[in-house]
Amino acid sequence: MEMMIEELGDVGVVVLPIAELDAGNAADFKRDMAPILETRTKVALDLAMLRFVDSSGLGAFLSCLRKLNGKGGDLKLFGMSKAVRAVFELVRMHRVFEICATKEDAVRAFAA
Amino acid sequence: MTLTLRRRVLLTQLPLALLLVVLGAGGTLLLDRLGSGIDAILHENYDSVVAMQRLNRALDDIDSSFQLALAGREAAARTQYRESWRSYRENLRIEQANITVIGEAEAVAKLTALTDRYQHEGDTFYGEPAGAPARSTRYFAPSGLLDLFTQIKDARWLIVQLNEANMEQASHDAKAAAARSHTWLVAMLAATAILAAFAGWRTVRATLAPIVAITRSATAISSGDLDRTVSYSSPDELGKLAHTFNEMVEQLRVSRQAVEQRAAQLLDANDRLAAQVRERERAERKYRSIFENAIVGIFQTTPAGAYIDVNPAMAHMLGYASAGELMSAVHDIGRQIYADPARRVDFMRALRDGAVSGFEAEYVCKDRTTIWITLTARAVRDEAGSDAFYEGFAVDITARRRAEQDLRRLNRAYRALSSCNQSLIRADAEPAWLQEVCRMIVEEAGYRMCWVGYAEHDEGKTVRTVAQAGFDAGYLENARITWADTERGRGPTGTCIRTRETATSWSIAGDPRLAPWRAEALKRGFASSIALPLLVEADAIGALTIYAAEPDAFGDDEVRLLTELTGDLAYGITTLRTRAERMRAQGDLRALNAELEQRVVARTTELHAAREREVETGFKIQNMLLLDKPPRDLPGIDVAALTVPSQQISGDFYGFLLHENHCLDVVIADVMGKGIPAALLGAAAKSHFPEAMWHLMSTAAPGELPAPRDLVTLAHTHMARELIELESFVTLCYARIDRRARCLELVDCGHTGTLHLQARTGRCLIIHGSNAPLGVIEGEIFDQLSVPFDTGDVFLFYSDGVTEARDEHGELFGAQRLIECVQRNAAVPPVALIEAVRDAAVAFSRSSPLRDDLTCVAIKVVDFEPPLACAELELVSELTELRRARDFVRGFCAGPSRALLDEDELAALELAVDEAVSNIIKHAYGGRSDQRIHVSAAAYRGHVAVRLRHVGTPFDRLAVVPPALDGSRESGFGVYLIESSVDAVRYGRDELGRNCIDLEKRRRAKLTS
Repeated sequence: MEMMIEELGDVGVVVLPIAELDAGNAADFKRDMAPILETRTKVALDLAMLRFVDSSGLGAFLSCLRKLNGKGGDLKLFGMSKAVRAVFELVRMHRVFEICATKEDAVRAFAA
Repeated sequence: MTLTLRRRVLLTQLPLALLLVVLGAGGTLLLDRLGSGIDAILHENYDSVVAMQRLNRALDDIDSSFQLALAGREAAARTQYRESWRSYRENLRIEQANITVIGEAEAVAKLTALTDRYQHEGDTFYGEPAGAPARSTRYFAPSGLLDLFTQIKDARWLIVQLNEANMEQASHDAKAAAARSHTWLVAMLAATAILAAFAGWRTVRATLAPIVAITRSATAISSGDLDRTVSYSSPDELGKLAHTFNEMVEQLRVSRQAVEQRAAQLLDANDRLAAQVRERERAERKYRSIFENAIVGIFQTTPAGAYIDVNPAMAHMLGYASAGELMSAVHDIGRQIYADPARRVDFMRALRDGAVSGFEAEYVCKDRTTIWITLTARAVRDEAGSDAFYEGFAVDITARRRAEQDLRRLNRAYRALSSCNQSLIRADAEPAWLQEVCRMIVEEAGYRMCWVGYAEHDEGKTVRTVAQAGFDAGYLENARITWADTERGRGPTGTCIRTRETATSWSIAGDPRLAPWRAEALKRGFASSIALPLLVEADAIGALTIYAAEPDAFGDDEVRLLTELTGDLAYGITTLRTRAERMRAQGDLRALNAELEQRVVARTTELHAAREREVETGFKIQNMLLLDKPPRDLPGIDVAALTVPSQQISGDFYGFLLHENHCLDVVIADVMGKGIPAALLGAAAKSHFPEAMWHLMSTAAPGELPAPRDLVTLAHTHMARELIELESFVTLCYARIDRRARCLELVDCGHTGTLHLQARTGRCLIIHGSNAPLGVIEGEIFDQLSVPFDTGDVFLFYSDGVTEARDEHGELFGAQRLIECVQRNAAVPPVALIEAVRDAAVAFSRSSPLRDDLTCVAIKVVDFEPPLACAELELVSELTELRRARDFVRGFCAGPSRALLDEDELAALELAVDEAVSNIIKHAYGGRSDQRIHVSAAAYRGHVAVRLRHVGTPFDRLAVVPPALDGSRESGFGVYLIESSVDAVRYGRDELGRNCIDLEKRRRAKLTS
């Protein structure tokens, strides 16, 4: 999947270009995210298009988070739909990720 | 022309031959006429009978076509009808053209009329639409098809009867004619025989008379009477023979006279010669001296000791060439001849009485050997009365004395032998016994010394002394005897062990082989020795060596006895060794027995286990082939089945077939017999039902199910013949439970019955059908019963193993106990009910093993809510299919016309399905992408149910670890997500053994429609 990256200062804002992240495409997502995470420490992920995520999708997000955390960086999520949020809440991941409402909120959260 | 013998014989036989020819021709003509007459009659009648048989077959086929038509097989019926008529008509025409018997024309006319009516009725029958009740009426009504069919059968039967009666008459006539011909022929043959006898007698008399005359003459001549001649003159061969015979007799008479004259002359000459011989013999005897010819020695001696005269026998006895030599050599008999000179003095003293007889003395021969003689003599006195000379004769008795001596020794040897044999019976230890034997040989047989040595297989091949008796004085200790082929091994003992043959040294003094031991042996008075091998299975294990005080001590008989003794000795050694061996072996055997017993116990246990395993395996196979899994989760029907195996595999089977229109077919059956054959037969029989179903479904209208009776009928036609041939049968119950119609359709083929518990009344009935078991009547049409039922009712299908379970007194469990048991458990689910039935039957027959499998199927009608909607989806086990699974759920729940769940509920169900499918692919199928997952969804008023079926590894809920909710692990949320998203999750198996995951998502508000 082709990620659109917008550089806002030192924060890389990445748009997730898919509506469903499940066991069928979670590996592709991780693979395509890898070069982005390589050169950055601060990444904000735009989930506005995402309608469905399953446990594999959650695992992929967690993987990204841990890579960035590993080098002192962070991953912030924003634009999450209600359904996706419900899944995050089911497994308490809303407490592991910082979930922001908008892109600006996310960039600002890095600055804080 | 003269009549020769040959011509005469031929002339006599000619009229006989002519007579036989006439007789033969007459007989043949008669039989031929008879045969052709019968043949013509039989041929015509036979054609009629055959035509009637074929017609009958065609008639049967026509009739069976109506039955086929009535059974609903219209096309086949019509074809059969048409083709059978063709054959029928053809055979009727044959009969019409072949009327031969009185009354047959009328019968055929009647048959033709009936046939025309029958065909008319038949055509009308087929004119009716298929399945119309009118058809049945036409067939069964009085004067209907069936009635006509019977009438035609009777008419046909009359024609056959007529023809057969005529055939019988023809046969009877033929037999009578044959009998007449037979009598006639016998009479003619008798006449011929009498004629032949007369002619023969004439010929024999003419031929035999001259031969008898010649034979008599020949007999007389052979007994010496040459004066006989044969008086027979005839120009034929016999006349010539008589003439020649007379000439021969004359010649014989002349020759005999010449021989007799010559014999008389020879007899005379012989008599003269014999007289001369007798004369000369008398003369010779006159000069012959008794003296010279006497066999005994005859002598005359002077009292001083010189021979006056001796005969040649006397000289030869003493080893001299002639009487002269003896007489000139001997001057003092006492010193020169007597071994003991004093004996001569005794002799002369004995002669004082004038005569002596039987006086024995030892004489010394010319070669210094001695002989024993016995003397009979008298003293011849002169006028003065003093001894002038002695005369008498001497007989050599050396051989007699030797024989006497041998006999004595032999007797002793016999004694030794028998003692040895007796001692063997008492003996228990080898060395002691051998010692005893040696002692007996020395003491009883009177030898100087005796010992037994065993051949040692050491380097020096020494001979080890194991027993010894007699005068030894350290002889053996220093003898150092071996059985090697060396100097010390060439004595009798060594030689005999080496060669395995008896070795004798007649004289130890003169035998060079005994040089190493000679001095010591002679010192101890051993003059001769013998060594005998102890042979055990042709192997010399040692030797028995005996020393005698005399040279040449061992005579032939003695050696034979000693050989026998040694044989017994060897036998004794073997026996003792065997005895010792046996004692050891008995000990071993006891130990072995104990071990064997242990093994047997172990093996028995193993066998028992193997047998149990076998029974278990057999039962597993039976389970697999014969016993279907009862379907589960059927809305409105609760099914349970159970089998308790007896000790043998049986052919009991049950099967279930679930139809889309809420009908469930149950078949339960019991195949006659036990074991693998019954099981195989059961499996084969069971397979016919799905096949019949498939076959009938393919021609049935959409949504229509073939009736159970048609299914059973069709399945039965497929297997009836095989079952009859195998002399087996199957009792069976085929039931269809229609939940919508609330009706049970039942085809009972000789089965035990079906128990029906009515929930409303609490009554329990056993329903029986009237059909025969499968494989009893070919072409059986099966009846079907309809039993209405209500919610809560229970149907129990059971094998006779249940009702025929017996207690220790042989009493049957019976239907009443079964009914009571079912009534007691009316409220419990079927699974518990059949367990209660089983427990009751097993408890009833507690001490006796089950004779038959207990098989039962229980079906309970329960409340059910039909789903509002259903849908199914088949997925491939690839992760890219997850989207299809979600779309399916979404499409089902939120189609354009309905909204079964609200958005949140739907998203949760979607997530649960996604996670479950994902788990199946990753874990149950281990990531394989070529497997299938079946998804079905059903909507009810209050909830949506999704069932996922797969055939991978079953899911083990207990092995799932709780998720890490702190983000420390990237996976492991799946099961947690599923269980958090829906209201109920069940893991299980369906009736086909597939793993099921059932998800239930409830609505917050119930649907109103």
